[in-house]
Amino acid sequence: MRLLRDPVRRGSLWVVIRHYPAYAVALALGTAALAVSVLSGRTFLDAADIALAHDQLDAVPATAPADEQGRVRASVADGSPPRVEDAVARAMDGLAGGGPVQEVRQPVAYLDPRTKPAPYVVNPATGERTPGVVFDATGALGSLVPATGSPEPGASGLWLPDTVATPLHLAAGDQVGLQLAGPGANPAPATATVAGVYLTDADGVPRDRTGLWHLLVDELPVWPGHLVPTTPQLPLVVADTGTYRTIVAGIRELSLVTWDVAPDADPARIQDLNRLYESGAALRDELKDHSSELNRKVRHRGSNPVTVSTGLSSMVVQARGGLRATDQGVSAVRVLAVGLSWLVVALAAVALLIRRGGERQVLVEQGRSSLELTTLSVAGAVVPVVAGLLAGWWASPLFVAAIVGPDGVAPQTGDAVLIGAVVLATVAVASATDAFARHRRASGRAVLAARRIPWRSAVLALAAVGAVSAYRGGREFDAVTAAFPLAAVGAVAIVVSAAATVLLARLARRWLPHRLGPRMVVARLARDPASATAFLAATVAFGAAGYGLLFHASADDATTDKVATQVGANSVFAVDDPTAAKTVAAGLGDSTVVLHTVPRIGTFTGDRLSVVDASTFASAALWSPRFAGRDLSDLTRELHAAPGAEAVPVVLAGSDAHVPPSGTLSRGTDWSVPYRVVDRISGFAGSGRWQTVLVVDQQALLALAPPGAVDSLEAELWSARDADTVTRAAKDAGLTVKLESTADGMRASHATLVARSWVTGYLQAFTALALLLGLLVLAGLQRRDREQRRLQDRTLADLGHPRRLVSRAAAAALSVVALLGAVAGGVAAYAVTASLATRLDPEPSLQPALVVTGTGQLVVAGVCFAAVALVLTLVGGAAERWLGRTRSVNELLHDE
Amino acid sequence: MSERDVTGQGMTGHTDAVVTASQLVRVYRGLTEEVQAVRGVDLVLEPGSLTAVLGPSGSGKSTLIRLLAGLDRPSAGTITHGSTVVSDLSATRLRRWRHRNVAFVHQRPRSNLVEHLTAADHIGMAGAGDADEVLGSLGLTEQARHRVDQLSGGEQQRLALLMAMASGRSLLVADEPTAHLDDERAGQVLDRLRRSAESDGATVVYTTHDPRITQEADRLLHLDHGVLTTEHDVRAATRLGVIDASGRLQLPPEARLLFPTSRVAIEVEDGRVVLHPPPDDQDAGDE
Repeated sequence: MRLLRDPVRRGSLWVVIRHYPAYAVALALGTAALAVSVLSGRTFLDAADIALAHDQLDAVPATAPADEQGRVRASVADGSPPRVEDAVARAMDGLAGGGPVQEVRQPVAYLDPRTKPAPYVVNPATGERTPGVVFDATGALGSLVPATGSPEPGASGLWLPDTVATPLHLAAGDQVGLQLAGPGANPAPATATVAGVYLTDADGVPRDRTGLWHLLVDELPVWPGHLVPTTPQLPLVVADTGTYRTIVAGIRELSLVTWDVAPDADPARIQDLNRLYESGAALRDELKDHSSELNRKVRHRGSNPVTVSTGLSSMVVQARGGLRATDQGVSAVRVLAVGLSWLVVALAAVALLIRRGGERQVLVEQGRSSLELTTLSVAGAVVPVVAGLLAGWWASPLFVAAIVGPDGVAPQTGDAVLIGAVVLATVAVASATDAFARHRRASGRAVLAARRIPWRSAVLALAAVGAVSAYRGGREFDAVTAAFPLAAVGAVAIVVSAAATVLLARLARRWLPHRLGPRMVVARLARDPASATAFLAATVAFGAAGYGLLFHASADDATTDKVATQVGANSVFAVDDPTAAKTVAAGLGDSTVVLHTVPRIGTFTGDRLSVVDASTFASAALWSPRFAGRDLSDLTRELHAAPGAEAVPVVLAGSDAHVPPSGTLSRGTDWSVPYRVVDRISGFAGSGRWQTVLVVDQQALLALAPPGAVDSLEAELWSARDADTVTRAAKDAGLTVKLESTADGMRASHATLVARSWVTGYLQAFTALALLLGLLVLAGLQRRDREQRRLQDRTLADLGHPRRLVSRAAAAALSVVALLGAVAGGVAAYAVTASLATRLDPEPSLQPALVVTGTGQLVVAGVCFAAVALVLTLVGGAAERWLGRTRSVNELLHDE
Repeated sequence: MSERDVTGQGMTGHTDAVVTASQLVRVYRGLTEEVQAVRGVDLVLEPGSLTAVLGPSGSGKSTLIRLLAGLDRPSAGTITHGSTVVSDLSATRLRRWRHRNVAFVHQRPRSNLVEHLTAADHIGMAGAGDADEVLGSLGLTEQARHRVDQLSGGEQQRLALLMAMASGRSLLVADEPTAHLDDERAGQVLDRLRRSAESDGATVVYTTHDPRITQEADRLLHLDHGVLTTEHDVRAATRLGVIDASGRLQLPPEARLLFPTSRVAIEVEDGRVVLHPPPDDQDAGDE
């Protein structure tokens, strides 16, 4: 109680938030930033782990082969006996890290193009028949939607589609037969009892109750080439496993049985993929091992009929590479972020001590101890620090979710407690140092002044050491790459500030404007030490933020350019029939057919000729404005040849020094046409540092080439649509396509591209913190300036001078400083980013190399920064005037 | 006033402890030169007395009272308080000594106050029981709930003085305590200081240029260029000069007027020293 009788102690917990709210906010913001920078690390990496695994799984089209899929598939296709199926099913069920097993059984003998058998569903009573095949899959029966008059589907029985039951006049409880009839033959059907009739959609696919049929869409039996489809989907007689086996055996069909096991973790991480992969690999080894029990069980006719396929292996390798790159980059950025956040905390703590200097001096002179002063400071900081910690705790997952994804692990309480302890320790150390210095001064002893610490020299030395390390070598993004630009920007700020101070001082000695306002602005810029400090703060703050912005924009744009160059379109397929492919492309929309060959120009062979359809290419292809500085549609217009033209217009991309402006393009002895280069661009799909691509229009080329020239060209179907959509459309149209590449697949196979984007996003967020720090310093300097000239302002006003003259001069000077700092910081950031371009490149092995982009955003950010500084000045000045409007000169004099 | 407990080596808390300064010197080291703010001052301050330190600006008044209050450390010489040698105390012991014995009032009112506390809080911080009664003694009852920035300069100064007096410390040191006060308030403040000295036995020392309170002091110490020139005991109506260790004596200003050429004839006779202008100077003056 005695403790609480002292008013200083009694209110110590709330004193900062009640009486120094701006400092409380700064302290809370710094703590929140520190909390985010520390707490987000674990969450960030976990979210990246999940996102990388997810990207790998998602990048593979559902229509891609099993050995590219993110699951383990076992298949048996030669009509092995049930014991083999049961052994494989048990083995697949035991895979670690995956499940449940999705088992699919479907007939395959009916597809034989040599014997051309036809699968029929038969009404034994009437002899009527219609095409249909028996089908079995885990959960298939339960996903059917029964037609009117049919019971709810159970786990067993045989179900007919309404497209079969209606024309055959069959219903639940009737007998139905299935037969596999060769040409001109009508074998006896295998019969079973109809358990129910299910509904189908317009394509003949079962209506989906649980979503299973949507997942199975690429696994369903297809029409054989020798039958005319009546519906897009071949009618399916869905049966339980026992019925399926009985029918298949009865009609002498062969089955393809597949068991798919996907990672069971949700969300799945890389280690989950790896666990399943390793388990699948062990199963494959066991199946191959002649001495193993499993091999003995599945052996059929002397051989192992089971095939195990998975694409998990390469996924794990790629994802691990991405995670490694993310970890390395994030760790580097975190060092920077923690440093910057802690700096905000330390500056806020020191600023608060300075602000409360008078009060602390009173307490020191009263004989209060350093320990008491420190305890009071820590007590005052508790509420803002706790508020900041809570804000950081809340914001950390959101912050990670905004950059990577929402699934990372939650922050750890222990980390948060540690952060709080560090912040309070910072406050305690600052307070104890200040109290100790005051006590020493109060007892007549000397104290080392902070201004004697050679921090400018330290920053210059740090920048020099960083430069040696950053430019000496290495291609990865590490702590040096993260921190060096800040030191470099700081060094630039110090040098420019020192030079500007000298030059302005000389200018002010020789010339000053005549009008009082501008005269005061120039005089303040030249003579006020606060101007130099403000310039330093603005340059460093904006330089750091500018580096983050430029790096993020450049890395993202480089990724876009690399993907566009490497792939060309969202999905690219090889096709045999360009004419049919054009029809499919037209039906799909945003798709085109591109023809390729390697032409001879003069005596040189090795360039790549891309023959595009100028009318559809722009809507299908990926494009970067950095390739040509304009839209793709503008470029393709240049490819159109005028009627009667004697040469094909060519646009050149890549290394083009060896290609004459005009000449002849030849394809062996098949054809040759004259060409004329109409434009040269820096990039195009397939181009590279050593690879030239010549782009021509199909119509223009074929008009000059002999008939049949198109047959000498390889055709590709490029589409802006996803691979599955294109594959299904091609399948429906009977076009054989082979997936060559997709944009998602390309990103997934170079996971460092994604990782770098996350890291730069992370960096950008924290360099924005530097911007906040700079604005805080500017605001602090403005406040100090206002306090120093409060009496001056009032006296001038009382003497009849324009009251706001001094205020406006101060505001103008600080705004000019902020703008100049933004310019200097922006230029320094650009120079540093450009000089580190090779090191910042997300994937240097892919062309084109990173170039610095985002300068437009940088200019806008600079203007905004100066504008915010100006607004801070004006608002602060207005508040000061309003608060001090009733104070007389005498009262202000008393304060002095 | 009762004795207070003290801790440490001889740090007395007696209200009747005498403050003595012996050959006090304070040198400030500037960038280019040294400034001797206080030069060889000897003095004795009795408990229950009011002592005014006078002198022109820059004469070392403020430095002297800061030294006496333990807020600065002498370059040479000693300060004792009772049996405690204040000038030899470590920083920690000096702080404790201040905490128990000294109340210091700065000339700038705000420098004495905690800006976010109310007037009543300040009195509470000084340890006084009834804040309203204390504040009422200098007309601050209505301002009891006002924070520092809501008080005028004069109110702030009265509050600072009340806080110092209410702390009950034995050595009350004030720098220009009436600088911001009108005649009436200055008189009230002086009455309160007098009461602290006479009733509570405090040793009160203040610097001033204010003739209103100069005459109310028990003793007047004149400082000039850091040297204590004269010591005037108002009650005993005596004026004492101080001969320093080198045998130098400073004359009061009115006496110096007798020696316009700064030359003096000295005659020692019958236990007295007689100073008068040299005859040559007198002749020159007559001509």
